[in-house]
Amino acid sequence: MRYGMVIDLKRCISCYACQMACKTEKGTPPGVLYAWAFRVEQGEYPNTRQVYLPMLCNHCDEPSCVDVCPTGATHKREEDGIVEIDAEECVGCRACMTACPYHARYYLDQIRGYYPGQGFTPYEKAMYPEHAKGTVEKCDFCRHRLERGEEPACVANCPAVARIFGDLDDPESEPSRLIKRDAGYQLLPEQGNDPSVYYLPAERPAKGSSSRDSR
Amino acid sequence: MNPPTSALYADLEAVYRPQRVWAEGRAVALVIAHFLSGVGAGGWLIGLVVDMRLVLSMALAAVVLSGVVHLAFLGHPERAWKMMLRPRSSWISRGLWSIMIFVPTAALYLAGAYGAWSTDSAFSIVMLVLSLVGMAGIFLYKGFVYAASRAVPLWHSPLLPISYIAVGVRGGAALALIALAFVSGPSGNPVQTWWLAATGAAVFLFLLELAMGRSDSTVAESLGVLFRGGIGWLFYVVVALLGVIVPAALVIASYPASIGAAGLVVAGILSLAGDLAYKYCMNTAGTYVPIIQAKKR
Repeated sequence: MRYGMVIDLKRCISCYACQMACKTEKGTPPGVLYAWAFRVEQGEYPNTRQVYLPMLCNHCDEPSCVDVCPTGATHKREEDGIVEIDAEECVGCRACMTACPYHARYYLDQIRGYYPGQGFTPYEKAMYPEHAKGTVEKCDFCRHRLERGEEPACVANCPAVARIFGDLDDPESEPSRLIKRDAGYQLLPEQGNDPSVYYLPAERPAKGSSSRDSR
Repeated sequence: MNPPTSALYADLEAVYRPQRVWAEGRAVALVIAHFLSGVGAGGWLIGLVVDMRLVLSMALAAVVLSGVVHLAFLGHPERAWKMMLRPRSSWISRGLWSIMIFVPTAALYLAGAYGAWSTDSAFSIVMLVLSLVGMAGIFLYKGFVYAASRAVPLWHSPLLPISYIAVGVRGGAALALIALAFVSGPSGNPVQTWWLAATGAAVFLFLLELAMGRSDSTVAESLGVLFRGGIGWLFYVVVALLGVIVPAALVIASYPASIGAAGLVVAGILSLAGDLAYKYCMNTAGTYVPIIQAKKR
């Protein structure tokens, strides 16, 4: 099994619900964004457009972050392909951060609250023990939700159903079908990481309906 | 410290994202540690070649100090031993192994050199060989730690490890220049010759790396940071002028006529300062490959 995600840029409405859902689910401190949106302008005036590219850890099949980790803290799970970090093993050398081309990793040299000078909120007090100071952390495809049979928070909370999660090793899974049907592409394939996050082009002809439409 | 949140958001919207984790805040400790380990490995090589025990001692001290400074960079220094667990894939792991091999064997060889036992003994020879193995590993690992980062094209160059070896040898020769003020050196000017040769090699490799990489848009962005960005003055003044041109003039002047011990010490210190600044500049100029090519907002 290889968990992966398809992000349909035609459906994405740039609402940042994925980012907020992730923040809420994982309780990350300020300055840590497991899910974020890359916002850029393309083209030259007057033919310009703004592009939103939702980003997260790509859970690569050939992850460069795993190779450079000196302790094995960053590793890929054989059973489902999720790239995760063992906070107990991480020494905080940040080599993985220089190796990752997707800006998916964050180093926690301190854990700040959202309201400086007012202490931590009850929610922060509840969630911050999950974050280890002096280590690197990132998206883990909401492993705890997967274990409960739920989808990652960013997928479950996307109002446009632009995120589709499933097994890329299964050719009949919805992500696999969409990648094949709509020419899904990976970011920076030349880096050789073989990401498990695919994007469907924002501009493409309509081709029939998908089971997503009935969700 | 983590970059301010505003800097993070700026980075997330930048087409060319700056590499900060090995350049800012406590990462200066990493730059210093890599500088010291290079100087130490270079000093061990030069000390053996020109047969100066003081240089060997300074080299060993530099490597030991580099290990301590490395720890200051880590988020969890108490777990540093775990960095030895992945030598098959991680150059950091290989580097730590190299330092662990080098320090005790170099110390034992040095003890023989100071008269504890004969340097001709089998034990000393074994220690010497092992120290050379450790030295080679230290020379190699730094460059490959950076070159392994495909996401940062300025570093991901086959020339970078060779270039950092040349810089390390140059640093070792600079140590020897300083040591000449305190102990008599070998006849002729072999230390000066080594320094000039290593400096020439380092400058040549740097220029070659730039020539090879400048067609890459991300490397071009990095070069913009290096030559025209906020660290431009550091590169031109400390790296190029004080680190190369001034000491080269002093060392060349020492061939026909003595410039005195003070002149060589100044040349050595400036050379080392230039190398440290060079490492910092190279780390700071590191830029990630753009996720998508687009017009910058």
